[in-house]
Amino acid sequence: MTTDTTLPHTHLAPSHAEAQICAHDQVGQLAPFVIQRLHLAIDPRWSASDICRAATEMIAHNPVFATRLVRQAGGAFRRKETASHQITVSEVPIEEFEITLKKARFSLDAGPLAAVYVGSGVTGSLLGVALHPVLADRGVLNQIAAHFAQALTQESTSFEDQPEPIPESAETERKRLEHWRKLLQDPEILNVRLPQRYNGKEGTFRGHAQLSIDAETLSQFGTDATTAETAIATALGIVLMRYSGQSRLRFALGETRPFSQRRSEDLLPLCLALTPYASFPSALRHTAGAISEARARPLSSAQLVQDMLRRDGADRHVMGAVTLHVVGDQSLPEGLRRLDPPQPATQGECLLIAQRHQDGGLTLHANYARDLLEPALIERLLTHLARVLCTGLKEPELPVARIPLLMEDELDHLSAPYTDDAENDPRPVHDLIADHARLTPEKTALISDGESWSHDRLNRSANQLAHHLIARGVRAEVPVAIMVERGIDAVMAILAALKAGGAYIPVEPDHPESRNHHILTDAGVAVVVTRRRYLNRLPQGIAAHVLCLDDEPGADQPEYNPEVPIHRDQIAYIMYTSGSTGKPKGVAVEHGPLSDHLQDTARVYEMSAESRELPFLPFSSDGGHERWMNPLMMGGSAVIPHGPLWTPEQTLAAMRTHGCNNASIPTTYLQQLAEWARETGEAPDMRLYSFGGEGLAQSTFDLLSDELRAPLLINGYGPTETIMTPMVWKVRAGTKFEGAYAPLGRAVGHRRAYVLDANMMPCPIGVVGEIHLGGEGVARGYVNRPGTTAERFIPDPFAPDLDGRDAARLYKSGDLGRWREDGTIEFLGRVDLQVKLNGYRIEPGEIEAALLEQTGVSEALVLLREDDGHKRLVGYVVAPPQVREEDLMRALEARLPRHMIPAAIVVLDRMPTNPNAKLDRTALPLPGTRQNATKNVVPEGETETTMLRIWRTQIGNSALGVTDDFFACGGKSLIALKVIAEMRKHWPATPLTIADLFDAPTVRQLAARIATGRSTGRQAIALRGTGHRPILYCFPGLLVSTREYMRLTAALDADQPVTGFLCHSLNEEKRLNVSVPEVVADYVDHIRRESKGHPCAFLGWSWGGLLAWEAARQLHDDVDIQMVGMVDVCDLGRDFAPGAVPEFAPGEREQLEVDLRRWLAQTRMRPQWDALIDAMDELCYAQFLRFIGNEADPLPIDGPEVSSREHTFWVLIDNALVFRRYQVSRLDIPVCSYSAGDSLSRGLNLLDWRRYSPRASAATVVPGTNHLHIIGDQMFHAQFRTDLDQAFDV
Amino acid sequence: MTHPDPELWICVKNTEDRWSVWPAALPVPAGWQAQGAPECHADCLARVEQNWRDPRPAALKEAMA
Repeated sequence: MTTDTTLPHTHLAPSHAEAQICAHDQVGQLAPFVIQRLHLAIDPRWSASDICRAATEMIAHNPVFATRLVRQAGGAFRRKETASHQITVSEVPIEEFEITLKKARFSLDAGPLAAVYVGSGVTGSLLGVALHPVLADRGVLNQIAAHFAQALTQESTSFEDQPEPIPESAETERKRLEHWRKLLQDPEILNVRLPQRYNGKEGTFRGHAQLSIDAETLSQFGTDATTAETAIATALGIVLMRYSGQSRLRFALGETRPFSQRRSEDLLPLCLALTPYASFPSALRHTAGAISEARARPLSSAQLVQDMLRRDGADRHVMGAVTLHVVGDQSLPEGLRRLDPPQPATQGECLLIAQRHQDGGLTLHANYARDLLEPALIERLLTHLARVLCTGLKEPELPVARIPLLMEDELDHLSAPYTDDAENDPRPVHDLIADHARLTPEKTALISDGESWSHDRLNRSANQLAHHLIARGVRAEVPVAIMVERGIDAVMAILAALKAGGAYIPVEPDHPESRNHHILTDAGVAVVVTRRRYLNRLPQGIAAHVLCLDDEPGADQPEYNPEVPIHRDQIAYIMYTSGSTGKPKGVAVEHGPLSDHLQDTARVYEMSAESRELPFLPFSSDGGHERWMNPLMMGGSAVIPHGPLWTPEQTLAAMRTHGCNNASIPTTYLQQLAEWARETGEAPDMRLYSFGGEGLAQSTFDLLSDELRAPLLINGYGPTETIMTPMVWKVRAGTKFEGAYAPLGRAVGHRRAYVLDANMMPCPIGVVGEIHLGGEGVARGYVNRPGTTAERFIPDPFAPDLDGRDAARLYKSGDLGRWREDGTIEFLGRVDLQVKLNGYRIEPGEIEAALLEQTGVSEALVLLREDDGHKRLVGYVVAPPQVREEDLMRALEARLPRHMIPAAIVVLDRMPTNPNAKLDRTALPLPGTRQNATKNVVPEGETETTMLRIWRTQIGNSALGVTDDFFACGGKSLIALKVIAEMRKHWPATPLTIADLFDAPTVRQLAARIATGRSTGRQAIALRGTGHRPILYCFPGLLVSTREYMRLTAALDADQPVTGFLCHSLNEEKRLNVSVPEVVADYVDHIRRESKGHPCAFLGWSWGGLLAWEAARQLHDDVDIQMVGMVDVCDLGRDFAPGAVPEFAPGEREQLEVDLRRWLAQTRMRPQWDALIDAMDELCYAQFLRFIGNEADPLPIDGPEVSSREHTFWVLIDNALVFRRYQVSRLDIPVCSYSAGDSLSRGLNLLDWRRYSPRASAATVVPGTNHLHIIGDQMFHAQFRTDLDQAFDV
Repeated sequence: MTHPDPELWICVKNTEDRWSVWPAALPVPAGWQAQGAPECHADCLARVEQNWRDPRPAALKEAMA
């Protein structure tokens, strides 16, 4: 232990982490760092005076108590250890102890940065130490506690005082940075994110959860700290692999030196490549290797994060969205006990802390983004972590992919069908239907095409045909094709086939011939029941016996029910699936499961003899048959649509005319029906609508909920292979759901539904897997395809345990889904359509659903294109031409996580289809190639020709036409500046500005302005010109084109008007010595004209914040400024801050002056530079020299064009001079400020607006973004929107 | 240390004479019996094609016999 109390270092440079914490403190937002608290319980054997004496000694021994951080001009801090200790021990009444310790707050400027409390009671005493996080972490607290224990017990305690690490050479750091950069950019190593709430956004609210595991459970755990850390990291790796389906993954692993004098806590990314079928011990060895490999290349996370955030599309949590710290409880002499929990920085979407206790037990803590992650998900995550750890240690032979995450009772609950205890009638469905011919013979059974048949008539006709079929050799397992258009005859013929014991195969006469021929020959059809007019559609030389209904084949047959015994296992029907590839496959369904399914479904649908259903689904889908069989077997009736596809008007009219109370409608048709109902108000009162076949978005569900006047709605889901609708979601109208699509619900009848991963393990709630359906309600298989049947219908490993059923089968649906919190299953897309991009598994269906919610979009398709070896997501939508691709893109950016944003969206007037009316994916155009015929227009005249050449060169798109929108064709901010600069050179008489480009975004429109010599010449651009809310005015940062605010505008309420001002440095010929009040004069005039006497809000980004502040100062008597949003607004840094005296090495200054003169002799901007340098005072000139001396690159000489490096440099220095003279005054207006995580990490001199307004709040920190990217950042948008809503009180 | 090969499958048949395939690394569910040695997935499916000639479940075959 060190006893050296001399303070050898004064004015130490802070570490990366310390500088970052200072920057956080400066903007008033310490989070993610927390005040560090030591909380010790002390045995009554020691008196209060013993404790105070020991505490005083502890303070004296620890330089940390004597440390301050001193702010220097320009914002940088230095560590300073003062010789005189300024803090003393405070005695606190024991009942106030905890709250006092918790309330300790510190100010970097005012100091002190630590507090020590002692409280005494009869049962013992308490020692509390609170420290600003810039000074302390767990290692520092441990050291302080050890010092205290030693002073108290007079015994030397066992801890090793580790020396501060020696800084690495720049070369070593560079090599390490390269190593880590390569790993973090590897798309194959997934930075695992936990399953998120639908539309969840990472806000600032954090949730907490905790789980303790006792020592006994962890008996195999060992006490060695390294082993424990490895085991926990391994278990977390396995859980994350199971959650993400990725075996190569990473998360952040924390490390803190156990005893230290300065803060050492930091993170390293831990990259794992797990093997699903390896054992836990084998995974442990791998993780141990990965940890030691990572720790062999330590690098401050601040360096790594800054480096990564410079790149577009960097992860928000560079080090890891999930962070793990493993810490051990400190060993202290008897009579002393630590009560404080670990308090690491709360980094990542989810921070996990595993705290090892002295007794061998473990506590898992979670701290997570509450708006992004479900609390229940985190509770389960901790449970799963504990399960994997315990099972992995206890059953080392089990492959890690097979460690159960769900317990049997959880699986039982999640997979269970709708509760239904009723006993089913063992008879086949046609017998159940025939019953009603006896019970209610005259009651209507079927209505279609102007005809109405009673149950009796239907039964007698079916019987006659059945007798005829029997005579023709139809019996068990013999297929009978029914090639009759949907209607009463088709139903009658189907019943006849069933009654004869045969298996019916529905064939739609008007379906493509090749499909029908395949169906008619594939299954060995023995009899075809059809009409004469369809005979020419039969395959040549068909072996089957053909019966035409026109010939009344059963006319001479008896009308009684034929006596044909039906075995449960014999086939009732064969339904051909319409696969998108290959030939249709016949799915054979047996009588037993069919009858059970229909009886189960009838109860779920609450069917009765009163039911009159309109089944809209076609007979080529099995759902279409369920929906007529169901009412008939209950003694009700069905209204069968006939002829060509009914219009919504016809459908609603039929429902009303015939008094329908149920309707079953394909989801795709439902929207049209609901829209028609809304327009006409003609929806009849119904009891139930059921639908299915496609994913159903909330907007469609809301529409039909509101317009279709039915209290009960059922979303049915089911592959043909699991018989009609094995799953349903049954809800009252008006129900809200979370998710892209309406839930699929639960299994029906004697079935179970599972979400399983690739290793047949049930997925936890929220984790994506493949939907599997098991139980009795599955088909026999595919006709004549035993291999395919074996592949899709697999042994059910769960039924023996859950239901006591051996030899059961599961059907692999090929659909992706996840269990929701309420135990229903949500559909996410097809397994074979799931794509992987940059390590993320993406369900295109989710993106499609987001596109479908946009106005005008009627169809959407998202796919992963690979053109020229370059993978990207592309969205295709069908929408009217006025729907702009750019707007759709922005809408998606406001809704979806970054990795789900397509690289391009293409608007089409219709989706390309192949001759079978299926989507033709190969015919989808490449993005960037213009679709609309009006585009690619060739230029007319010299102005258009020249301008188009400029645009094409700058945008890099040679296909650009004169009517193409600049911004929609890839015109970005910097390109806009370049294009403006080029155009000004060509047409100096018409000084075009960005405002012109906004107003007239095509070559043709701009050329017209040049022809008339009239440019916009405005200062303001209406980013959104409409809306009833008060106007938001956006002040530009340096060298920005105002377009940067467009994404923010899109993310705000559609009723929020937004105006952007043009950046003055781009806007006019530069005037020297201009003042900030002069810069804002035009903006102020505009606002006064537009909003005088009205409320409004300001937003300033970067230096624009100071402009907004000055405008507010001038305007606050005229307009009602309800909020000023300050986005990463920095004061001048050390470079140019008044009072920041630069330092030069001997002779350096003279050399810099020589360099400066040499450069000035070459530049074409000489006059401008001379004028600028003339305006500098002596200190400023010295700072300028220092500034150019710090530049790594040679000074630029490519001016004076806008967007040249030299011009940018000049504007930067000019602005520094402008703002150098500006004094921020105090105002009483509400301020919300936002700081980019990267700016804080760099220790930029961010302004603390609380110094300037009593109504300013502490800054919101936006992690994972930097000074430039923050304005386009989703998390910032969401927070700003919330703040603005609050300011406007809406 | 070796671990089970996830690429290997086995053919299985249940008490109703229905066939299927199953990962060799996992325990065979109750009511099913392994048919032959582990093979790759495609080979297992080919073996099912060869051996499962009558799609009718055992009980139905018996009833129809």
